[in-house]
Amino acid sequence: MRHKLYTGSFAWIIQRVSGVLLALFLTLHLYFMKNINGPLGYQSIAGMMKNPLIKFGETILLMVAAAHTLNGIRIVLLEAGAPTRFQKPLFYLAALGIVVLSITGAYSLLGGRI
Amino acid sequence: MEQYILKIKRFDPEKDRKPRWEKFRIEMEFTDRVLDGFIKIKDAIDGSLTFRRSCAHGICGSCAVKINGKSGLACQTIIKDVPPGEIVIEPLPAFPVIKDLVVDIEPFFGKNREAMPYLINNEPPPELERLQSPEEQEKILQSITCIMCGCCASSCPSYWADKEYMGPSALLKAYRFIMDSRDRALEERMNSIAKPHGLWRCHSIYNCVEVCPKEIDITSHIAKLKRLAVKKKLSGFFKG
Amino acid sequence: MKGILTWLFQRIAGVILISGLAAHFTVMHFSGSGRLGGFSAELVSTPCFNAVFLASAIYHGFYGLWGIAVEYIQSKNLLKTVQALLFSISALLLTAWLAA
Repeated sequence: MRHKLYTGSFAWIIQRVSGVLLALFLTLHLYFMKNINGPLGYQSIAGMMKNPLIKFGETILLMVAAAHTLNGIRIVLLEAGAPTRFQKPLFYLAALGIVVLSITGAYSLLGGRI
Repeated sequence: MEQYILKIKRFDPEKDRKPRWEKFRIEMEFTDRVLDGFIKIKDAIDGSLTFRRSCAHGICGSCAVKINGKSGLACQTIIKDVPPGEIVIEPLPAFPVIKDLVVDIEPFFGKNREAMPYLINNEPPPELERLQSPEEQEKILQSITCIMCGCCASSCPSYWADKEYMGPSALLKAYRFIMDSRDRALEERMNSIAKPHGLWRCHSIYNCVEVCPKEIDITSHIAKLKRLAVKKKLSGFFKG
Repeated sequence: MKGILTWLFQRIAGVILISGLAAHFTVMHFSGSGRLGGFSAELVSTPCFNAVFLASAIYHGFYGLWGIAVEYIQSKNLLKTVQALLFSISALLLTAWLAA
């Protein structure tokens, strides 16, 4: 980093990294989902989804998506006119939301039911 | 008087192939400013230390450097406000270094010129002056206080990456004239900022606001310009 | 003036994605009929929702990458190539899915 890291730049790095990851995932997701052929392919995918490694990956995906979404809402609000004094509180709020979503999401994805 | 260590990133284009660090031990009062430290070093220890300073009172903006990882004015940073121990001094990031702490600010000023930093009004001038009401002036009050020190641009991650990005100060300059009740060049000004390397490279990171020595809320000014651009575009649509 | 609507669409697509993603996730993972249960049924039942959701996702993702390319790629030729690539991939994905 060429400069001291502030809340805003930290949020931006998260947004960038999660954004690139999600775009990558989206591309692969759309590509592979398009190439499922017939009930057989469908079943093999359904089987794959039970793989614990895939489940773990899905949990990570949920966290990344939650981070990008909540921080994205923060940026939209700020650019729509929310005053600068809210930029840090909004980030803390987003961070809290990310943690809550990650925990509940991980719990239900990794076997529990809510 | 207390002992302080100033660790300064130095570069002499005639001797050095790359920048080197040098530590200076100096006695300073805690009420002294970082700039006083530079002057003491230059006077008593090493006359070759090169830095810019003119007014030394936070008005000219020429002594902007990176102090403990943060862009700021050396004349406005009091020793007691920086954490004790070593004070790390570097030239402004993202600006080409000429010598020691002196950077080339020409590219930065060039970007300010892109924003046409002058009043445009072809209407015949009144007898005395073009008047402005206090309410109208209030709108541009903050943006007028910019001293063009370059702290904002040098701390902006978009500015580091995109060599063509206008940067926060040029966008603020555009705001200053767009919102000026006496200016008549809205169309041209919007064209000069609503472009790939203009407004849209601002991602509301707020580093510029964190470092601005004049405490200008730069990001919210840029956000206002974004909204104005959208409004202008959409109203153009509805008019046909 | 350039880039205003594309920038605005990025925000709009983002807002659409919030609700879309919530629905997508719920259908995919938490529907009563098993993990992948509601997949095909849901997908076909609301083609309009899915088309808008799909277009928003592709637009949002690729506009984001486009912006990063503008910022980090200094060479004009390389930038043009990358942008052409991004445009083709997104167009391919969109048509492949909408054609079905």
